[in-house]
Amino acid sequence: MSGSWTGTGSLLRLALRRDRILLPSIVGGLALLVIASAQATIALYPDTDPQRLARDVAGVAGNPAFLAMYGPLADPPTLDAFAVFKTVVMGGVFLAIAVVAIVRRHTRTEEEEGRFELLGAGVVGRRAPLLAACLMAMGMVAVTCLICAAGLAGLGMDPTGTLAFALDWAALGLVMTAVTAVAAQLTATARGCTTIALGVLGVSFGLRAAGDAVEGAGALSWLSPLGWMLKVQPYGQNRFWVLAIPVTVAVVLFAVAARLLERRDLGAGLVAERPGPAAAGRWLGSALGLAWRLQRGSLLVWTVALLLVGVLIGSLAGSVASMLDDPATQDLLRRMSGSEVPDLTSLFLAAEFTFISLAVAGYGIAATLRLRGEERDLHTEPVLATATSRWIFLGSHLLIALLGSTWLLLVLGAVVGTMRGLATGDLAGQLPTLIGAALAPLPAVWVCVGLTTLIFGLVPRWTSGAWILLVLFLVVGEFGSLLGLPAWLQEVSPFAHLPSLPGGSVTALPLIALAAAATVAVSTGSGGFRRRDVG
Amino acid sequence: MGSPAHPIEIEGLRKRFGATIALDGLDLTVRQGEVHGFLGPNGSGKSTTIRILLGLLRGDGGVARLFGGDPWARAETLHRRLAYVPGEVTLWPNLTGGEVIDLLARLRGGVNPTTRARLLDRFELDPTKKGRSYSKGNRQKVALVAALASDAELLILDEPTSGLDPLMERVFQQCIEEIRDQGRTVLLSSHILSEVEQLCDRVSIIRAGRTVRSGSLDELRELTRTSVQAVLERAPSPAELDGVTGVHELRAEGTRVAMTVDAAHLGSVLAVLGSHGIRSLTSQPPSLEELFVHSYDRAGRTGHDARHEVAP
Repeated sequence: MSGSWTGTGSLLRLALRRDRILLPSIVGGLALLVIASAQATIALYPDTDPQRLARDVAGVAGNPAFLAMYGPLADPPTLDAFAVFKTVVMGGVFLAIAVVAIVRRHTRTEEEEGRFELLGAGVVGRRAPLLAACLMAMGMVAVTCLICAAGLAGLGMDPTGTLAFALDWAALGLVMTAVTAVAAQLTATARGCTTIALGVLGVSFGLRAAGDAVEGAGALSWLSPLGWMLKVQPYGQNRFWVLAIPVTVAVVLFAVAARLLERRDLGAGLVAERPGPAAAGRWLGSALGLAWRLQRGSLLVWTVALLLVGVLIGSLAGSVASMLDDPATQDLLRRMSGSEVPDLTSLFLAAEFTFISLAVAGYGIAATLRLRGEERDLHTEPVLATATSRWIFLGSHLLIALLGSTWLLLVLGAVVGTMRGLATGDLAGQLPTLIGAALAPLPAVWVCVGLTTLIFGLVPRWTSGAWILLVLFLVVGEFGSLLGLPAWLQEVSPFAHLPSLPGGSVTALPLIALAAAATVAVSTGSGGFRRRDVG
Repeated sequence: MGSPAHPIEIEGLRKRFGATIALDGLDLTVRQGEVHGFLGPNGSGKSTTIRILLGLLRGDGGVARLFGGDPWARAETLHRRLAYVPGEVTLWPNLTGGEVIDLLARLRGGVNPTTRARLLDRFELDPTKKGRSYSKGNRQKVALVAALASDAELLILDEPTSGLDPLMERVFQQCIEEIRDQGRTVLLSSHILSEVEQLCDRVSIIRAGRTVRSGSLDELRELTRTSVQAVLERAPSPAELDGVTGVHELRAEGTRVAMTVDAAHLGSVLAVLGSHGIRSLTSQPPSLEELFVHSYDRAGRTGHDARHEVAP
């Protein structure tokens, strides 16, 4: 029996070698998020003025928008609990996503690409790859929790609460490792494994949000791994016994994964591959038809995601004004955004639209990078050996990237517009205004698509650089003024030139300039692709 | 435009990838209606040549013409007239084999449903399976059916039978023979010499990005030696045979002699043997394999010698 674990150590070393940049980035990023936001919150209350804290806590505790997003504040609501209020669940979601990515990367992806066959023929036990991947994910979680705990303790926060927080995250990491281990056995594809594991995460967020924010639905939170985290109440009651739930669930899931692994063949899933159509449908006869077929699934997932985000923003918008009714805060926000912002709801919506447009730019980049993926997987070769020109091949995926991102912002604007319209009784006014406002960042999104095309056409080996640019735009936009970055650097981001809509005024020139920049980048990139070798 | 151009004309083609020289003055002419074997070991530049012909790569020097046109500048127009099977077939994981066949055919200009159905049947291919669940041989079959189902004038096949079992290889050979009978042209890059020997009218052998040999199999055979073994009535003295022009690698044991003979001198050598009275005689033209190996030997040695000549 011990034979089936043989080779786990070597595989673990191989995995660590492959992820030697990825792992420290994830650990460092998560720890920074937790410690920096705790420090910033504590710094807001230097004199531990109990009245001010109590007032802010009351504002948070009663607000359904906050309850849905971050869950209830621990009881009793200490300053320390307030300091990790946002990071317990939100940071936990990031941690869970990282765990899913790591486990999947070293199990299903390897198997799908046939590398396990190479290893499996050597002295590697049947269970070794799964065990190595799980150990690696849990090791990452453990290190993250240790660093966070050390950092939080260093801020002088309550030691018992700090322990509860660290164990809370560790338990979530354990459950998500087990969930992904099972998901990796169920389907034959890495994509399917991700969909199942992130689907579980999404459902547990939804259950928890409903349970925490909706009157009378509180039991739902007990069904959610993210809900269990809040039930522990770190820095409040510190109910360690709740942690028995995730640990038990994880043990059961690991046993299930091991059993499933015994019962399936290498490369296969439990859900058998269904036969598909013997002939192509009418629309699968052009490069655009092919691109649509390859990309429609991801656009559907993004559409659903933006629908949900739209509902969330729509419901939050109404309570924004009450959330920020402190005159001093309002004044600060007005000064930050320029003088002409008429109301805080508009200000809030404008900020959210810009922020979400960065995510939509991520969709645009991913859709454009399908070009490179197709080329790398050697799918481009047989297509270009037909009467399909390079322009058409490039244009097909580009069209989906450009129109897809437009569609996503349109969905966002329509959902938020409808909800605001129903809430204010002014549907005819709100719907077009908010659709327009949601579409306003589109030129900046297109610039991102254009830059990706540029890299693809001129230096295809550096296509991951498109993601680095997006992160740069994000960091410059969110922290640029905080970090005191020079103005020219802040203005590098196309998102820095967008109007503040709804509410703000529009000047045509920046938008035209952005659209022109996108056009130039797309045509230069296309020209480069026309002139370079394929493959 | 005078007489119609050859489907493929390549002269002195060069291509380098960074420091590596992939093609170093390659020549290749494929005539209308012939099945042309394109031979060479791994990494000798066969796939690079084909990719330049398809306009996927751009040559650094020399001339490559497809139907008399520039494959780089006029790729998509020229591609209507050809079908291609890549050396490494990867299918879209979530498209079925049938969908891929139809897609590629439609991108080229259309599919003949009767031919398609007949080919699926002959290759025993299940078109309802998804790309990710096909074996290597079955992926190859998908690409083959997609190419063979077209009525393109020219088929460019890059090692099309790698991964096929012997039965399917035979089906493939029948298909190629039918295509030749229809007067269509095939460029067949291959490692399987028996297949080339059986199918190809003419052959080009390349090595390290250069054409080493080119011509019909008969022409190539003339360039090399035939092995001759005979049992004679009277034992010849070694000097009697050794002196004859065209005789090489002579081995004689009493009345039993074995040698290789230059094709050009076969007649005169046989006359000398005849003068000793021939009891039995076997003569074997070189197999393609011998031709192939011989080409490399010689090319390798020539390169070696050349270096020596330059040395002081």
